[in-house]
Amino acid sequence: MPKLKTLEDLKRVRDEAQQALKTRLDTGTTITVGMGTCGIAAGARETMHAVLDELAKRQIDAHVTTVGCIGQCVKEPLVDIEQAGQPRITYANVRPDMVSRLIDEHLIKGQPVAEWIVGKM
Amino acid sequence: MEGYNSIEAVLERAIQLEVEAAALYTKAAATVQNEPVRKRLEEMAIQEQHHKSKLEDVRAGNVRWAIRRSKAEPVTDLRLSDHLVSGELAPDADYQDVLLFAAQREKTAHEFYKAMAEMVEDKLTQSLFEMLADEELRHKYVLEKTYEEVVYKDF
Amino acid sequence: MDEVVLTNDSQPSEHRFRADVLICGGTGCHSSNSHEVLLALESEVARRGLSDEVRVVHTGCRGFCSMGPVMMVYPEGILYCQVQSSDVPEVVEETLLKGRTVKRLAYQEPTQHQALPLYHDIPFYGKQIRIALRNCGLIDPESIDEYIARDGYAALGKVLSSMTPEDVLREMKDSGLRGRGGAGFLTGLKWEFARRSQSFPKYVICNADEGDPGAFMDRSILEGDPHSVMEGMTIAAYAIGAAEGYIYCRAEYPLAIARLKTAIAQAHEYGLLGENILGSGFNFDLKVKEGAGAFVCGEETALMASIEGKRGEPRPRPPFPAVAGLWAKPSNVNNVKSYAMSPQIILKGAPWFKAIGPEKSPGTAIFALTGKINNTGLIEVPMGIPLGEIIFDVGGGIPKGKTFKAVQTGGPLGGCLPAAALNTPVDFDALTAAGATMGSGGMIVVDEDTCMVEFAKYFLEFATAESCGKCVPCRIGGIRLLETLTKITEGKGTRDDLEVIKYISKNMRESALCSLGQLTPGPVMSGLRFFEKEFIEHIDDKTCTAGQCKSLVRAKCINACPAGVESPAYLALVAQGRYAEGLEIHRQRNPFALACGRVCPAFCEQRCRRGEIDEPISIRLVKRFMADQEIERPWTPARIEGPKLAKVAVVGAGPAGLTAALRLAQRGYRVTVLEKLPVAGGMMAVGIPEYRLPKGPLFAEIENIERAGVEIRCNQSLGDDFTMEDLFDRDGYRAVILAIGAHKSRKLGIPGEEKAGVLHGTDFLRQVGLINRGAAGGRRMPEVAGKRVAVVGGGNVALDAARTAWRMGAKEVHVIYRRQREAMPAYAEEVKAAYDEGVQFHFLANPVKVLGDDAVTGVLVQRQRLGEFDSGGRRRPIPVEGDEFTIDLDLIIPAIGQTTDTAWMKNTGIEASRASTFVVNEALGTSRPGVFAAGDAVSGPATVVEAVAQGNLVAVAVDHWLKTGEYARPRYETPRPDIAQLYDLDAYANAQRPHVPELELVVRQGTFREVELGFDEHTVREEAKRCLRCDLEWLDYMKIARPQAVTEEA
Repeated sequence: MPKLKTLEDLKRVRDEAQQALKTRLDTGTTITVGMGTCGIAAGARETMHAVLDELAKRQIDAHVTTVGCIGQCVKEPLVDIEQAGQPRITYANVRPDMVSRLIDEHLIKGQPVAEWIVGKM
Repeated sequence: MEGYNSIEAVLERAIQLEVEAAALYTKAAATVQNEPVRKRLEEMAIQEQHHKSKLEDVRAGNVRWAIRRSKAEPVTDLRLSDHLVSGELAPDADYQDVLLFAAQREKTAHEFYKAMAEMVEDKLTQSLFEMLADEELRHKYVLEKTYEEVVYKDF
Repeated sequence: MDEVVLTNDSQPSEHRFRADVLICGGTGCHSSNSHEVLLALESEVARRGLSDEVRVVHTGCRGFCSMGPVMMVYPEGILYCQVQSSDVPEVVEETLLKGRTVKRLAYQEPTQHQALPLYHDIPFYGKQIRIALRNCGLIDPESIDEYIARDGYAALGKVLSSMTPEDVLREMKDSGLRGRGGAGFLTGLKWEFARRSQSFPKYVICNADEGDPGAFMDRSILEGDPHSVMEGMTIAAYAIGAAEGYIYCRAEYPLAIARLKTAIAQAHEYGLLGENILGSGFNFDLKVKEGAGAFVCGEETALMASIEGKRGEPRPRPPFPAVAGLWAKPSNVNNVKSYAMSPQIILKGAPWFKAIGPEKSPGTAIFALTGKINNTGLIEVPMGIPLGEIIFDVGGGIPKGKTFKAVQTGGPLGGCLPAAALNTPVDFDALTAAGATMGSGGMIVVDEDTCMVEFAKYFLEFATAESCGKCVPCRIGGIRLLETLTKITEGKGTRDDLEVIKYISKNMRESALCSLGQLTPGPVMSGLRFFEKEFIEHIDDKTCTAGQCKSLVRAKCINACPAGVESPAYLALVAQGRYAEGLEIHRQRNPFALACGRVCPAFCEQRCRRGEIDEPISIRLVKRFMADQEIERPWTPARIEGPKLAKVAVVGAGPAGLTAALRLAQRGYRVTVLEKLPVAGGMMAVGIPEYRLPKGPLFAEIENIERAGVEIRCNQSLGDDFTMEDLFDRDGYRAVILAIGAHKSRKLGIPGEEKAGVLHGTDFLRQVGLINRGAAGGRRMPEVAGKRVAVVGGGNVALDAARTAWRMGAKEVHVIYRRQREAMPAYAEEVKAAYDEGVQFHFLANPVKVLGDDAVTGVLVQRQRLGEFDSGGRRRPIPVEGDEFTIDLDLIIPAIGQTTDTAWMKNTGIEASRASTFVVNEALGTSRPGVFAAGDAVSGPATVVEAVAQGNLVAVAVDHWLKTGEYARPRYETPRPDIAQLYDLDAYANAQRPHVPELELVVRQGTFREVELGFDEHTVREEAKRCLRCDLEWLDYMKIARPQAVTEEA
């Protein structure tokens, strides 16, 4: 490990290390992927990987969690996006190729993708 | 607000109320037959005398400082006796009766001072009334604490 | 212990994990095999193909030690307790893969048994503000990067780049931080003193000796977040002008030492230690010095001597370390926690810190909560939090429903505080004012089963062993104190010994060289201050009520029984089928075996040692069977002394009066019992209902007493039919015992109480009881059938009234109680039976008004919530404004408490207390010569066996007074029965306590038939053999020969 010679060096290590700690701290945004048997069967794990990749690519801080069967099994994979202060939005039938648009419009532009919404809480 | 247009007038009235309270307890002590209960009433009369002396000190000394010191002490209203009924103390009054009687008297005094605080406009006089209200509430707290320990031991 | 070397995750730092699973690797969890859990987790995660998503992290201690091994799952924030490697596959499958919580691993809240899987819902953490512990359990302590990610070394960076040493000193002083090692000296000021000294080199020293037994705050910080301490020390070094530092860590903490060394090495690599830190030109280096196993080295001057290589002995101060410390150079010694908090103060500023807690003790305090507490572990709470909140809210209260007795704060050199102190805010000054100390933060909670004398002795043993020996007051004073205290625990103490203890303590306090000697008397002095009664009981009565002092406790059951009944002896005889002999032994201490076999709360069972293994022996039911067997053979109590001329009058034929009468008659006196009611028995006859105590056994028992020569005259009321003067002057009694009980029911004091339809509990039960016992005398049963009834109260009178009303055909029976279910004084079995019988309970409810015109139509009830602690340690109910409800009723039965009727006492010269009990001296004598008192009239409402115990004692006191004219503290002594053990204990190792058969519910309604049916002979004899015969073990302990078997099993 190279010596930290300045305050800026310290800050750089901190910023890098903070990425690793993100899961343990509050980020304000949680993306939940239904991972019951129905979800897994419908390909929810691939969808979740797509979400993780997209978040990493765009350097977005968000928690990704899994949850059991929500109930609407025919609509799996189901993806919830919840941001601090906003209603929780549930998207249905989310395939990996849909993830990029979801993240771009809902998280970055702040515009939920209406045609894929199945529930709002 | 008539009659309370000065700190002195307020303190004068408060002192008078303590004197009346002491007389009330002394009179009750004379009626009650139960010996330890009678002694307790006499103690309460003496306590009211102490309150009177304390107020006289305040009158002679620094009112603002007394108010500040009082504000720094926490005061809790247990509201334990608020719904209970107490009349005149009968000759066969027991400890439960006496505690309740005294607690309700303190409550009346507390409410009186609170009402006064809301009616005056001068800030200092208002603070003084609030301090007096807190004092009475502290007395009520002590009495209600004892009531709970004695009467509500198993309740 | 091997050094635990972990690999950091080998993924490049850009890779983002979806989930982190944290396994606690603190010593506590480690000793519960948390490392195996971690390995199992890593392997299962890999097996399920989740290694890219899920990261497994080894952290320091999060504090919830009693629940270890602890596992935290992020980002959800789920906390799993007591995780074993066998649980790992399920956790991975359910939580990591499918996102479901595994409920059985979640924290179970102790009273409601609700599962609380989320960390922030758990009350243990809810009230904590984690400053020094902010990283513990959250980061991997062996990763300097994770520390830096949490703003680690940012404070140092700020200090080195933009603050002068004076700026640092000012910030620390303004924060008001007081040393967390225990003395509570202002940290900023201490640093300033060291700065002012103009001698070099200077040293920064961290006291990580943590010698207090039961304390592990410092250890957890060193194991869980070592860099925080190092950063704090570096900042201190900058402020005072030091270039070298020492961490004096006790050698008994190998994991902490290992982590420190790793951390120091990592800091060196990053250039955060050593020369030219962060390019500022400031140099500072740290060494770890291992302690040598002496508690006294926690004292700063002894600590420094130890670093210098000398024997750890303190020296007088001045000079203080800030002037001349290590190697006579200016040194700053602070505790681990003080250093750990400093970086946060620098980063967030003094006003932030000062705003937490009270003005004179700002910030947070860290406590290691141990002892008899549900949530054992480490907590950090704001200063000023009431002691009771720490114990009951954060700590989760006392296990097994036992009562809180005391809390020891400040370790072996601190003091204990009783229940009355539970509202004390926890800060340096308030704790000292209350009689204890803050100390380093150890908090040991004890319950009713702890003997305070033994507890003080435990700390004294520790302190005397750790005395360095340099000064006489500590070296000799400590030993003498210990000797004296040991004498008391062995029943050989005298009242003078208490004076000796006070004298030695005062001298040690004033003249010992260091605070070890000065504070050694702390625990025994605070024990004497708050629990003097226990010390006196050990001395005068040779009794250890808590049941701990081995010399004084032959068996916990005998000890727990207020009358000292010899349970192991009669259990052994019952096992052999020798019921008459067993009964005789029982009656030597308690003549009411038939009654108590049915109604006693069985304090003996609550303390039974077998109960610590599986279930206590069913002593009461064995007793019942034994007594029932002999009911056909009337008992004539034996004479103990020859006949005497003196006459004694006993007023009141309850258990206290009858027992006293019996014992006096056995000693030859002529005794007459005068009873107000038409029937004898007191509360046994007119309080306890027929379905709990049928009249057959009750009257048989009373007849036994008459057979001893006691005359019982009923319908004789004191004050109406005779006066005190009549007894002495007219009838020639030489002594009078007042055993009139507590039959007067307290009024509710609410409006409407005078309406028709309000019938007090004791009056209700008396009317029903007299009729059921065949003494109706023209009385009629109260009309209850078809009515809606509410009983107000939570004691046995209330429950008896409720269950009686149900039997009499009440349409609805309600019980309204002001506190919660757990606080009810009534026996748990009674409450359960009431529930079974359909009684509706309303808790945290207080009636405020009786509704109706002339007659009752209902009651208005106000809901309560729980507020501050009272002097007994219970939370007070406070009315909730506006939250009221109505119950429609026809009959209200108030039963909130009972007092003694003292109306007849005017001009009798007998003093009563305000609470209407008799004021008595040590010999149970009242203020009038020759008049004694016993039973509920002295103690307030209690149980049959407690009244019997008083009856025994007052008889001895009266006997002594009649013989000598003097009052003496009585001791009721009976020969010790040593019954041989005839069966093999091991054969009963797996035997289970039998369930007691009860009358079917459908049969109970409408009758007063006895509910409890008792055991059959075989069950009873087998149950008696589950007894561990602790009394024989006591013989062994006292080196007395065991009794030899004489007869074969009957």
